[in-house]
Amino acid sequence: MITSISTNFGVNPISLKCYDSERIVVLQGMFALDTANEDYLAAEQLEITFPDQFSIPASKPTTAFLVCQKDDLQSGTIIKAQIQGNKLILEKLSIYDGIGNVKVVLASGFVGDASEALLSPKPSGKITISGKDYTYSASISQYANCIQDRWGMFFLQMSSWNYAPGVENEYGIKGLPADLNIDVPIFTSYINSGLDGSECAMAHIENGKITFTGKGQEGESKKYLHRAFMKFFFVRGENDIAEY
Amino acid sequence: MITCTKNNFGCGPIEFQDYQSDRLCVLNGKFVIDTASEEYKAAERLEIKLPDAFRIKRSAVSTAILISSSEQNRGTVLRCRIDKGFLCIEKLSNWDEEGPLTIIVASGFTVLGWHGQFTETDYEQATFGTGIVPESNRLVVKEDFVYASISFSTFPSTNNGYGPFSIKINQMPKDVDAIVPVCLQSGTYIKGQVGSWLGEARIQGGYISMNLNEDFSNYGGKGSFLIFFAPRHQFIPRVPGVGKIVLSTDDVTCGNKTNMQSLLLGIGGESGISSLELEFIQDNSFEGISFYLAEYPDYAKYEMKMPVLSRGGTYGKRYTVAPQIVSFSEYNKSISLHNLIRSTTMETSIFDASIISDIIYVSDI
Repeated sequence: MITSISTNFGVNPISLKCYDSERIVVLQGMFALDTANEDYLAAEQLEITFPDQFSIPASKPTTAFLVCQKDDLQSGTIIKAQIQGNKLILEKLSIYDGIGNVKVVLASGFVGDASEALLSPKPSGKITISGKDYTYSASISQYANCIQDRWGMFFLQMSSWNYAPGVENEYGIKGLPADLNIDVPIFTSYINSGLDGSECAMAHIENGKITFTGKGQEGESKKYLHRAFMKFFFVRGENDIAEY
Repeated sequence: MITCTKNNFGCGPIEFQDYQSDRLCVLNGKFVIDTASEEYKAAERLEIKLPDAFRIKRSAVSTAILISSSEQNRGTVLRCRIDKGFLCIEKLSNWDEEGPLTIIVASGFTVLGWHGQFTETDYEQATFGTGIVPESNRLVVKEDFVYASISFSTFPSTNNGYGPFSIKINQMPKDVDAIVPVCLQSGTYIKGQVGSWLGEARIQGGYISMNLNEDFSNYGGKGSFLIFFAPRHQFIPRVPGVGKIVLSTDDVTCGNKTNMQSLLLGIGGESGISSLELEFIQDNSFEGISFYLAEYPDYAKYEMKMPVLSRGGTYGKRYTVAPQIVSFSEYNKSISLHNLIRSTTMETSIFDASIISDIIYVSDI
């Protein structure tokens, strides 16, 4: 876990899970943005400063998630994220300013210049997802599951995913590491009227279960996450970097 | 491999991969006919002298495939048989004005007049990587040859933005290196059309590779099919080595439908860790994009994939997110990109880290 010493947008401290190496830095965590904060309004980009340099001095751009909840609607998009020295630099995108609750979700892998390596795919372990019954079933289209000792990357696309609106839905997910504990958006191919970005649901994955509260009101008939997908990097374990 | 030096249609030496036994011979190869050649014009049928030692001197009828240079590469199936030591192929003159003609022989030849016992051949169902879903499906894998007859409910299509692709056939032996005719007629027939739309695929190292002409529409897709024989023991897969791939805008050539603004791609580091920065403009980005490398690095795997997220927008929709698969193909020396949810964006940005991944395909959307 690493904790920021300052930011330029009025939110501090921010703690993130971190796997830090010369080949890849993985940051995982979430924080809320106060889009009315004067520091935020004055910022051109979001800068989070940590006490120590990362092992990659200047990373290539990668993705972080920007998620907005307005009433029972959730939309999100991706924003650029980059490591420079001891800072995490995030693209400032104002599309959700003044609209609902806005969160930045880090589930990101940061890499530097390419170095020589064996150019062959890492094998994926088997992934299965199961709903509690046939009514609320989930069916996978394709996935990639790259699990390393201290970190991993997971990509998932669903062919169908049914949920009960307005309540927490729970599904079993097998094949991910037991120590994975993460909050990430599941995106769909739909958009919410009046909200930029893609419709999404914030999912929590822990102990072989994936849970989310889907759009709609409790008691409504079942709905679908249409062509749902997710891709994220994750840090394994709780305290991953001793020096922090 | 056999080399046939004599023919009656003015073509140079013709090579075929071969498997030969007393009851069955398999040939796989192709040749190109110049329809303006005087010898071709004079020929009543196409005759290719087989080597004297060829095991079958006279066969039952089999097939060859003609692919013309006409619009959408129309062509058809031709009678083909071995007769008195010659490979004899029916001459059809329908496309003589639309040459050159490519003739693909990917056929099995049985002895003429076999009266022995017939036994049923075991076959299996082929399964494919992302992009292909088979429908009717028979794959016969023998010690020395393979045979496949497969039609597709999902197959790459120019309408889905496919140009170059390499897709894994999970059950195909890696030692097959076959030229495979593919019928790409996906149901749209033009009034007065002669023949079907055909293309040439290559099966190498367990992958089927093609490069669909992006200028054609309705080319490929549902209803495409292939039937072929091919000998085994022809291909030795290259073992991926150590290296890195670093590409920028000036290092690649774009496919016809792509207006690429900028590209920075780096692949290296343990686990095939990659970074991709790409911006492009397209009327409909769900069609996919492709770009070509001058050389495919010889230390990279024949085919590689990695998942990334993109951000784009179109009228009334801004900053939408889509899953994209970046595919590398040694056969096509290409990198292509496919939007898995076929969401339409006009200006698309990718800025993502990923890993060259073993993407497991489970079911269609």
